[in-house]
Amino acid sequence: MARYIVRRLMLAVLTFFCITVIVFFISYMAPGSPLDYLLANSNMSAQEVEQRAAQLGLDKPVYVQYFSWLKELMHGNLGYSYREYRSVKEMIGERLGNTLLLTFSSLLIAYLVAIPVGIHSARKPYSMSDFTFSTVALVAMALPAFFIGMFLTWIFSAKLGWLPMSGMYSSDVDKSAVDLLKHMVMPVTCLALQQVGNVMRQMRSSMLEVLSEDYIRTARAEGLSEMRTVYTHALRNALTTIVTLFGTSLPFLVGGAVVTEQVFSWPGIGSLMVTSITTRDYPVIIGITVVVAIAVLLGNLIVDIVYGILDPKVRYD
Amino acid sequence: MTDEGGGEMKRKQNRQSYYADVFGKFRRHKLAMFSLCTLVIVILAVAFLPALLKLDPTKTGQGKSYLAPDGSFILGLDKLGRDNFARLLYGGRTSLLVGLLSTFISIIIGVPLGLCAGYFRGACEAVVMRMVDIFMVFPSMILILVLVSIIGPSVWSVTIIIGIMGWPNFARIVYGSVLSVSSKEYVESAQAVGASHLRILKDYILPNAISPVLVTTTFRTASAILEEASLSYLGMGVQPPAASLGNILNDAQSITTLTMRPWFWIPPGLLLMLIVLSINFIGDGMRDALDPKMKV
Repeated sequence: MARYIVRRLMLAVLTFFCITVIVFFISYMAPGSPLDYLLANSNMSAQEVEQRAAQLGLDKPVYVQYFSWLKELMHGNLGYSYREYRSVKEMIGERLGNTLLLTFSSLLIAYLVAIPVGIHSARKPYSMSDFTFSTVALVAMALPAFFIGMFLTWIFSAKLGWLPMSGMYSSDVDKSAVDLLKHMVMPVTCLALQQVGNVMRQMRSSMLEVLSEDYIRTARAEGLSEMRTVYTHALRNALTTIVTLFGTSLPFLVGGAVVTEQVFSWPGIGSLMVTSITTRDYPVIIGITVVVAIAVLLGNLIVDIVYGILDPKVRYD
Repeated sequence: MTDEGGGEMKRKQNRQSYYADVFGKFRRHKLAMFSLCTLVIVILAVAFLPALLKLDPTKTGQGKSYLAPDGSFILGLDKLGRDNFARLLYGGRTSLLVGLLSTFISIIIGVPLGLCAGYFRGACEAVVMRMVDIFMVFPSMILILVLVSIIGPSVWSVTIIIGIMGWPNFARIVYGSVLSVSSKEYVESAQAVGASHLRILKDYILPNAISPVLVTTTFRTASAILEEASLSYLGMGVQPPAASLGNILNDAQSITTLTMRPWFWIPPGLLLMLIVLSINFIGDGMRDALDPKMKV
């Protein structure tokens, strides 16, 4: 087991370096260098700018620049925003919690709805209720987040006046939990709708597979109750799917709410990403990408390790 | 010589009867058939209606700004006095074209990579499948936005970027079906008589991957259309004056339009949902029809 974990860990580190190379290359290709900004916004002479470039190491070959960037990254320095003159780490840090609040709640709701429904569909495959649920799942997957968001706002804020239109709090002074919950209802609904179809389908197909296994037939032959068979024997073996699903949702938790956050002006990572792109604030864009990449790798690693624990066959591949 | 010709003909007949069977099953799938009809109607409408009705989506100042629907403009006018109905049809056209073209790009990249990973195994498999893992879990919207921010938003850049992002879907599905057949006797016997890798891949392995690729194509087209619409909604996709279902909704972000002029933003949203849903249902029906185990 230890060897298996070490191998996965090494693979993750290797992948991380590949991603940093790609991300650095992207930022290198990005139009405009930090110097353009200095040139446009100060009265430095060309010579002074050249000096500044040497100071920043921008006259060095690309690979040298890459390693110095990587060194800073390892120390947790993601650079400084061109627009706000603040550290990118700080900007991401203060919004990450807001995004996690939104994505985590929506994922929880999606799981609570989709897992029982998926199991139910798998127990009676091709029945009327299975057909209905599968159709509903397909419909949910086809809903464009921004349109649903606008539609919800139109009905529940403009017409009925039940829910606030956007943001996290109604005022900066009064930050009550009730107010926050009211603001969360629509974005969370919107995001949960996006997730629910996929989780339902995955749960159904993995449960369907497990239910056709010999040991389930044995359990039934031994006269175990249907509930016992499904919820202890089958569900335990279908758990790997939930683990995979959760591992693959980690990146979504960090950065998956771009459109929804934009629709409801939610102050999270996603809306920061959109603002940074419109203002061409590359350090912030790259910073968010690196943070999401780390989440992706951690997610993959957790899935691999939990898989190794749940299924001994995996360890020896 | 004649014998070989006979064999060829028989194979053709077998294949025909297989596809006749598949088509028969698909036809009995009511929701899929209904969606196919809907999609055909939408395609015909966006392809021919603009020319038939002489609609112009970019002509400004055709009347008062934000004119409500009336006899001559059934969906009214937008801020610049452009015909909303014309923009709706052209937007639908953009969505379908971007969806199909980008999926085509994904197929061109993904299918060969999946074939190589599954057939040659080894290092090729390790690299390709690891890349698939990473691409599949990376929130695609973030990556697409980063790339758009560098290349710059336009119909073409969006099509190409969404196309590139879609390759892992195809690589994974092809890889799976290659693995399931590459140890079969007929592949081994082809290898034993010394057929080239290219020949084996083309004649013995690829045909098995066609059904899953077809199904993936439909689902991928649907998500590509949604991705383009989301990008355009954020203002990072198709740029005005060109119309896209997403950028029409971008214009409707102001509170007055959202609350007072539903005729302006609801039709493009509904058309988008109609297109994506029909394609998804067609894909679902196709999956059931192509699955030999399913009896409809």
